Formats: sequence, structure tokens, C-alpha cells
Amino acid sequence: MKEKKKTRIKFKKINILIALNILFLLGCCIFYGSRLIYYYKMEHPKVVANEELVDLITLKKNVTTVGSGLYKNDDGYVYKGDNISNYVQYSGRIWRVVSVDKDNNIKLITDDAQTSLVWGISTDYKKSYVRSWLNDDNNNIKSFYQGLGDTSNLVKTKTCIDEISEDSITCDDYVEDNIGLLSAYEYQLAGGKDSYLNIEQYWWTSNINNDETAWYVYSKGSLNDTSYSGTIYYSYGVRPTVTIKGTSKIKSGDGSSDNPYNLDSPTTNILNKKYVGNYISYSGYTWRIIETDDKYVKIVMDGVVKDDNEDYYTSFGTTNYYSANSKVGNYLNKKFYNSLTNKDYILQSNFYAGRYDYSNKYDFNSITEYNEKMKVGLLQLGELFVTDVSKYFLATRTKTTDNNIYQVLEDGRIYAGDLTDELMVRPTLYLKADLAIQSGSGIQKDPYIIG
Amino acid sequence: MKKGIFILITINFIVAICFFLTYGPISHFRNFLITTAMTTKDHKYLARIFYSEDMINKVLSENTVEGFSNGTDTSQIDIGGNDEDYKYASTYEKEILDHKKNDVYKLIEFEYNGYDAYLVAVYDPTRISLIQTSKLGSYGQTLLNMAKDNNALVAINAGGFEDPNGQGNGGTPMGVVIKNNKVVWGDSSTPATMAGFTDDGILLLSYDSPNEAIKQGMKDAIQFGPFLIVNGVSATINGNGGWGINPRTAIAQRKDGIVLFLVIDGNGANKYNWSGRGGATLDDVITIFERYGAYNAVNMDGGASTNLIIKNKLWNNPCAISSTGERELPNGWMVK
Repeated sequence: MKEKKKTRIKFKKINILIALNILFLLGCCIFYGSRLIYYYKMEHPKVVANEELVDLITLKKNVTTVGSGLYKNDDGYVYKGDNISNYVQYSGRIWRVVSVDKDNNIKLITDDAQTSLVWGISTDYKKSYVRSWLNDDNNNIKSFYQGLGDTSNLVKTKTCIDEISEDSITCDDYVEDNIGLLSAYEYQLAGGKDSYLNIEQYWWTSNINNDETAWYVYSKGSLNDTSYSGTIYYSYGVRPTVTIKGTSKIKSGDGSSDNPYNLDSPTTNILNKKYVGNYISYSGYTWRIIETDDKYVKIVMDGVVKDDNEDYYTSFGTTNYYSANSKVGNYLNKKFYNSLTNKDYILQSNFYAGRYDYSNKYDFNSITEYNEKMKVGLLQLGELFVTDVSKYFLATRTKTTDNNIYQVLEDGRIYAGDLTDELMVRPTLYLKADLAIQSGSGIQKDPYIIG
Repeated sequence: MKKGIFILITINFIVAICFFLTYGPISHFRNFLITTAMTTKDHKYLARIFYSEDMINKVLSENTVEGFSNGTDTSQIDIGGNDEDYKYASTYEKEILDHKKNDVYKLIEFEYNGYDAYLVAVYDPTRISLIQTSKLGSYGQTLLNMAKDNNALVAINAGGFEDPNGQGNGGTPMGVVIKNNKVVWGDSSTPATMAGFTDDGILLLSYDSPNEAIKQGMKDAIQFGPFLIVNGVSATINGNGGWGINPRTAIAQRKDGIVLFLVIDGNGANKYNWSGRGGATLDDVITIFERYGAYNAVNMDGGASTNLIIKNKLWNNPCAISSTGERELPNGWMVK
């Protein structure tokens, strides 16, 4: 009897040891297995090349009926909520997928504002400045559409232009353009201020109210409709929308913010063949391409000038006219210019210092009224990527006697501030068009390196 | 029950060996694993599974090839300098010098540590030049196609290329490229570790800027390294050199001007064994070059890029994941 008991205890001990041993081995498998998966995935981001974009977006596993994600409705699919992997890289910019229509066409909106403008003096979207800036090719500056890369996969975009109120947000009346603007209806459908569309900045929708002002989303994410006060009209961000064929093939990516679906084809490694919106590294600073041409490439600093490794602050000068002799102009064209390497890359060109106020009805074409040839300039209101950086001077002014110069605020608004305000400086340059790209992928984290 | 316990003991034994090798007191395997994995373009995770970044950096810093203070002294190279009655210093030298008068090159094949190695002795170094992909900056070409396009007798791969996520197409060279006395790629004013040939056929290993190297007569060059032998002095190797074991391509020049192209294979296309894709360490490469009397020597891009083409035929057994084991490259060295 005693022997039996002893054997049972011994047997139990062995079983415990075996169980502990198996647990240990399982623990090892889980620990090293998870490290293998983690590091392998980190070094080998998922690349889904040559798949059609619509097939990837509308995968069954992506469709949801609760929480944030892709919802199926009578018109197709629509994204709702926040923290959604609906990022797309197209034409050098990051976009978000808004919806997929019945024809499998996909509506995209830029992930950030592309410029800042007055919506328009007219309350008709068809005659608004934002529509003109997005689409017209007869303005003094290139339209947003003209600055896009490959447009062969674009179809016309519907823009809702209903007159709406807080109680009635509809989308029945629309226009079709190459480039559109998001409507308040679509903003609300996506979840409004609780959605991925809320970027905590001011930006225009395509709708007006019955009081002849335009609706916009403000920095807290709600809709508002105070677009002017007397003869002062407000400049808010412009977030273009495009509609792309669902059959567009992606080159890489999984739709996440780190690895967006990439629709951009590889381009020749010459600077002016790169996309507007691509990032380049030059002379120790990162810059962004804002215009390309056969003869030049215009770039703007993706940040502000540093002096002794600190952000450089200055007042604008004694007048609000930007020139090489103004305080800011003198600094940029002498001290800053002299600090740049490979100066032979820079082309001396015309930089504008136009006026923008009610006297010219806030027409952005008036920014090209005055110009001066110099090496380093400032960005103009209406140019691309104005709101990427804040607390810096533009070259755009009000009337000379006002002592006001436009500056960019953190929430994406443009503000006519005082000349004596101490702000940062964000230069823009014209580079030679045929500079060779040595390396980099053109994104902010990995800008193109020019030789 | 007994069978189960036996299996469990066996698994435990294997696991214990793995732990001993990866974390035990003997650093050889740990160093081999880290340096080999971290010098590949897309298998670094094999080291990261087992070790922290701090440990990896520590091992890499302890396993290095020390640089030289100067580049090549070109005055020491005397092309065709051997007398007709020169006596061979060793059987290895005999292999090189024993050739027909009009031979442009001679292929010597041998085995080193179980891997196939190929040494091409080029008797007239002025016949060596750099070949490049026809779509520089956009797409690479296989070395075979580059060699065919240029009617090359012999070609080996040369410099590295941008390879994000292992998806690089070989079109974008990594670092400087000089072709026909002009910088065709990279920054011309920043000092770089460059290897190339002067107009006179001298292998010039330079730490100067490309502009300065061109002034010194550099005709064709690429930025790569490390330098293995400079002016007859072999590099000091700390640990295993930090480059692990991989297929290798390297070039060298003897004092008499004969250039040596060295290619060492690994396990070949799509074949891995317990030791990875196999090949040689940089120490092995120096040993081989020393045998054959190299006076200056430099490492070229290796791993899946290692290629040897002879008379329009892929001669070695490269290890890229493709049907032939080849991959697209930005450039190579050819003998014409």
C-alpha cells in the first residue's frame, strides 16, 4: 500500500515536471516566434503590387457594420470613423479614401490642406475661387489639376453644391469637375469631427448657406458658416478631392499611414520629372516641390530657416512689400543664400509680392501683380503647401499703407498680421530642371537626394 | 509514455544546444550569426530574433576591418614588370604567371572551404573598364546582359545599389560612380571610399573626393569597400571582420600590374543550409589574395550580387531568388 502511494507521488512529480517543461518550450516558441514575425514584418513591409485598388479596399474582411471602418451602403462603400487604414499615395501626396461608388470609382481627399484661399466673393460654387484654383487652366498660377502627375486614371469628380443649413444637410445638386471639394454631407457621413477627416484645421466644404456664406470645418472639427465679415473674407484650407478608377493598379503598400497604397509609377531620376509634392534634400534642409516645368523646379522649405541651429525669428521689415532689399529679403538673399551649398543649382527668378484683399475682390490671380527677380523668395498665398508649416511670413500683403503682411496660423488660417511681429522664415527657390536625383524615394522620411 | 519522454528529452537537448550557441560563453557562433545576418540586405531579422540592438551593435563594433590611413601608392605598380626569367615564388604564383603569351586572361578554378571559387587573372589591366546599366537611375540590368551589350570577354559585379525592403531594381547605385573621368553618379566633392582604375590600368584605392581622385588619374570607379590590402599591407581584421560569411566578389592587383578578379560562390540559388547561404569571410578573401601576390585589394558588393560572366555565359552559381540566381545590378567590371 505504501509502495503504491510512493509510486503515485513519484508519477505525479514527473507529470508536473513534464508539464513545466512543455510550458517552457511553448513559451520559447511564442517568444521567439513573435520576434521573428515582428522583425520580419518590420524589414519586409507588405507589398501588394499590381492589384486593383478597389479589390484591396473592398475585401470582405475590411467591411464592417459597427465602429470605424468601411461601410457598405446603397451607393457603394463609405469610410466612417477614425484610425482607418485608407491612406493612398498618389501624385506625390497622401490622400484618404472617402468612398467607392457603384461603378467602383474611388473618391479620394488629400490628407491635408493643399493651400489656403478665400472661398469666393460669389456664393455660387461654380464661380468660386476655390473651384477655379482647383480646375481652371487660365489663371496666373497653375491650377491644382495642372500640378498633378499621371491623370490618366482620373474620372470626373462630383461635388455637392446644395444650399444647406444646420438642420438640413443634403447632397442632391452637384457639378462634375476634374477636381472637387468635399461637401458637408460627405463630412457628416464619415462621422464629422469624430472621423479621419477632422485634421484640427480650418478647411472649406463645397456648400453655402441661405445667408450667402460658405460652410467650412473649423479646428475643433465642427461645421461653421462665418466665411466673411463685412469686406474681410477669411482664407481657409483647401482639400481637393479626386475620383480615381477602381481598376488603378497599386505599386505597393497596405493602406496604413506608414505604408499607403502607392499609385505612383517610378519616374526618371531627373528633378523635373518628379511629382509636385515630393520631398527633396538640398543643402542640409528638406524641401518640397511645388511646381515643375521644362526649365525649372520650384521648391519650398519643409520647415523654417535655422540660424546657429535655432529657428530664425525676424520682423518682416519697414514695408509690407517683399523685395531683396526688405529686411527678410535681404537676409534670405545674402546670409541664407551664402550658407547654401551648390549655388549653381539655383536659378534667379521672379518672385511675386502681390496684394490680396477686398480691393481686388480677393482674387488669387492678383498675387502675381508685382514681382522682382531674386534668388530666394517667400511663399505666396494660393501656392501649394502653404499650411504645412505655421508661424511664418508669406510674401502676400494687403495695401501698402496697412502695414499688414499675411502669415500662416497653426490652424491653417491665413492672417493679416503686423510687420513688426517676430515670425519664422520659410524660403522658396527655383532650381535647375535637369538636376539628377541620386537616391531617396521622395517621401518626407526619405527625401530625394540631389547630386 | 516512454516514447513521449524520449521525444521531449531530445527536443530539450536541441533547445539547450541552440541556447548554448546563441547565448553561451563561446562567442564564435554569435558573432557569425550577427555579422552574417546584418550584412545581408534583407535577412537582418535573423539576428534580431535573438539579440537586442545593443548587443548587435556591440558585436558589430568588435568585428571590423580596420581602415588604412592612405590609399594606393600608384608608383609601386610596374605593369609588365616581371622579367622573362622570373622564377615563381609559389605554386599559386605559377598558376597565374604560367600562361600563353597572347592570353588576355586566365581562369583559375578551385575550392575554398567547400565553396567554388574563381580567380581570373587579367594580364593587361588597361583592358578593364566599368560597365553600367543602360537605364542608370531607373532600372538595373543583369550582369550577363551588360556584358553582352558591351562585348565583354569577362565581367564581374562591382558596386552596391539602393535596395529598400529588398525590392531594389538595381537602377540606383549606392554612392559615387566615375566613368570615363567624369562623376556620373553621386556627390563629386565629398570624400568617399572608392576603388577604380586609372587611365594606365592601375587599381587606385582612394579615400579622397571623386574630383580629387579624377585629378589623380581615376578613369572608372565605384564607391565600395572595405580595402583589404593597400600597398602590400593587409587590413587588420578584428574578430571575423563584421561581414560574416557570404558569397564574395573582390578585385586586386599585383605589383606587376596583373589584376585579379575573385568570385567565391555560396550555396547557390534558393539553397540554404544550416550555415545560411554560405561563402567566405573577408579574412578568407585576404588569405586567397595574399597567396596570389596581391599588392592592393578591395571588396566589391557580394551576397546575391556576386556574378561572374565569361564569354557571354554565366560562369558561377549566384544566389539571388530567380531562376538563374541572377539579379539586376547597376554596374560591373569588364575585360574587353
